[in-house]
Amino acid sequence: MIKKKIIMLGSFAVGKTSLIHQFVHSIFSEKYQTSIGVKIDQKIVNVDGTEVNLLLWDIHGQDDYQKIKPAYIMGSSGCFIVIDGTRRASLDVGIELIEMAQKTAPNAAIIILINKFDLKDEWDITDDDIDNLKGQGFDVIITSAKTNYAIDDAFHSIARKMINK
Amino acid sequence: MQESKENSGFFGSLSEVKLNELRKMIIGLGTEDLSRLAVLINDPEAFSEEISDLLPNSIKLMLEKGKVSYDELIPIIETALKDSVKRNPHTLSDILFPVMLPAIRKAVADDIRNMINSLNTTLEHGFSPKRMGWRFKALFSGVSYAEIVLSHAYIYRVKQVFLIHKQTGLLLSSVSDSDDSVTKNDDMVSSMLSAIKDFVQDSFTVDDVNELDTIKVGQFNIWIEQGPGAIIAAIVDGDAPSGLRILLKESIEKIHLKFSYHLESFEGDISVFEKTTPFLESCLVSEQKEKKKRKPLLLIFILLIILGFASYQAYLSIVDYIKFNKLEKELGSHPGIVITDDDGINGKTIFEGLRDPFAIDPYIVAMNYDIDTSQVGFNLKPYISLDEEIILKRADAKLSPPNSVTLRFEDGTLFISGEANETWVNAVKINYSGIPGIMNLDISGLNSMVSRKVVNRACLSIEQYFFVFKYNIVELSEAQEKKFSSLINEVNTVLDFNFAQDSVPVIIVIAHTSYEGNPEANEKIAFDRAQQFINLMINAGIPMEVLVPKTDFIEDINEAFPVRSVSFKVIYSKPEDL
Repeated sequence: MIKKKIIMLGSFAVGKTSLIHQFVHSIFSEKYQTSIGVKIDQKIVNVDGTEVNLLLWDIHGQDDYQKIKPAYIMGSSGCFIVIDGTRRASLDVGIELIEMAQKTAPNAAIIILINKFDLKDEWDITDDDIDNLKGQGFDVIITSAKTNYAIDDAFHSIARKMINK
Repeated sequence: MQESKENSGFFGSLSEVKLNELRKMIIGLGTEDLSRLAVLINDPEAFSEEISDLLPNSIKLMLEKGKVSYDELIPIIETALKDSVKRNPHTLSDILFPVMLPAIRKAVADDIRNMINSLNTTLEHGFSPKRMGWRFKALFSGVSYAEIVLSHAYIYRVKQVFLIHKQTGLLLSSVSDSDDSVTKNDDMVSSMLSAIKDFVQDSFTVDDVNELDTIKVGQFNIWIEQGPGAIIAAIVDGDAPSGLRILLKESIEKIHLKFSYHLESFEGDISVFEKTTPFLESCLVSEQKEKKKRKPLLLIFILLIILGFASYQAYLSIVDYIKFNKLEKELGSHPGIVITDDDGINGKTIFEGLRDPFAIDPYIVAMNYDIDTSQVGFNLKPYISLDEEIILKRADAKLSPPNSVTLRFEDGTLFISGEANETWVNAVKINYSGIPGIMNLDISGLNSMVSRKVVNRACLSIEQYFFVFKYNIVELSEAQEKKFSSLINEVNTVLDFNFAQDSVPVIIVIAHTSYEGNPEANEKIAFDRAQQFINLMINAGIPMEVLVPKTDFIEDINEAFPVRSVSFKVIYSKPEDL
């Protein structure tokens, strides 16, 4: 079996934990995120006949008061950068985190998740922004943790990307 | 030389640029490349510099392709190291100094800390009765005290061992001492452990050598030993000795020695780390404490109650045994009872044997020992006892003596004394022989109560008798013989009865005479006549000593007795006066 470490990065309240909730069954309480800054979940996915054991590091959202510990990023094979479509500021944080991830885990496959598709009407992020990200070579997937939209695709995509890398 | 010139002339006609192009077409290298190669060949330092970039990758590829193995490299490296140490030990020590010093410091610190922990544990129990017991055990068993202390102080069990990839926090391999895993999910727990380790490492200002090495969770201690590429985490139940730390270190070192390449190049495939299982399993150690025997208080209490009850029952049984034993002995001692056996039936002791109907009631004897009928029974067949006491009781029952009579039995003879009427005495004389055991009857001590009148009457009757004889002849006629026989009976009646112990009856035989003729001769003849009559009475069985001759002169013709007659008078006299 292949095991991979995936980290979830993003600004606070972008829906990282909600995305994971839709995807996995957790055994750890979310209080760990506020205490040590990370919570671990697990999901086994099948990618083209290969079972991949994904260890998801749901890292506390970065803000002015809490910085992400680089040690949590180190060794990750995949990285979700989660952006709240309704908050443009989360895009800026996401871009900072992309740089951080690329620096700390240079081999990690990165996928940008623009979350809260269910609130599309309230989005601050435009299609140009998305195209811009895609233009930089990033995979961008629009998701909704609330409606479970494209979450499964996102995890399978990153798993496939990690295996094929 | 000419040809050279021609050639030179031919090539010389070509421009340098064209020559270069031609050379490149033929051998694929330009002038610059050739110049660089020439420099590399001629300058070893430059060549070394060039190879230094390639060599690591070459070795890596060789290892991957199996062209060379660590086992092949190890002897070379070891030999090189040995030669280096032989030549100049300081070189290697200088190289290792920055590495060794912190490692030594950490090892010494670990040992001191473990020693302090051990000392604390020892002191904690040092003067306890348990420790004193261990000292005695050491004294008598020949095992050192330290070994005994160790066997008791460190009680632990390594439940699970994880091998975690240090950089990714992914679980590479794990072993457990049983099917029941302590953790909920080994993969997630491993990653979380790794996160916690990183969190601690990042959050506290500590040296690189001071890493998180122990986490305490309830009864479990998680011992962590870190290597450059992997972490070994052992979940320990209880307090393990410092030896476990050494074991973990050795295991992680061995794993790094064998799998350092795989750890470094880890891409998520954990299959290769299945081979680490023996190293991890070697860490699944435990030390079993001598199981502390809990005092089963309830059981002890119940046993005490049972013991107490049993003791009480035993006590009762002993008391009963003593009582019944005494009862049996006493029953056996009673005349007329013979105990042959005893048996317990339904909690009741049944005595078997023989009993004379005149013997004591055994239930009365049992009651003297507080034994009632619910506890004892008697199956005693009737028999006739020849015990003196029973014979006496039987005689008493059969003869029904009056209160004035006392019975005594001795050597087959029933002695009857006291006073009783003639009827009863006569009945006794008839019935005594029918009483088993009585061979003879002795009524010499018996006085007839009713004979007093008879005796008085007999006395009067005797005094009415008189016998007339011819001159100088004392001979009973046929008619007188009947009268004489009657007299004798009357005398016997009187003689058979004693009125008092101090007097006996005396029969005075009076021969009557007269003054006619020679009175003296008459008196002599009369005395002889009395004497002759006494002889007749003696011959009839009357004792001589109770018969006294006497003469009497008749002075009045009207007197009751005629001349030459013999009459009688009964008096009572003391024996000494006779």
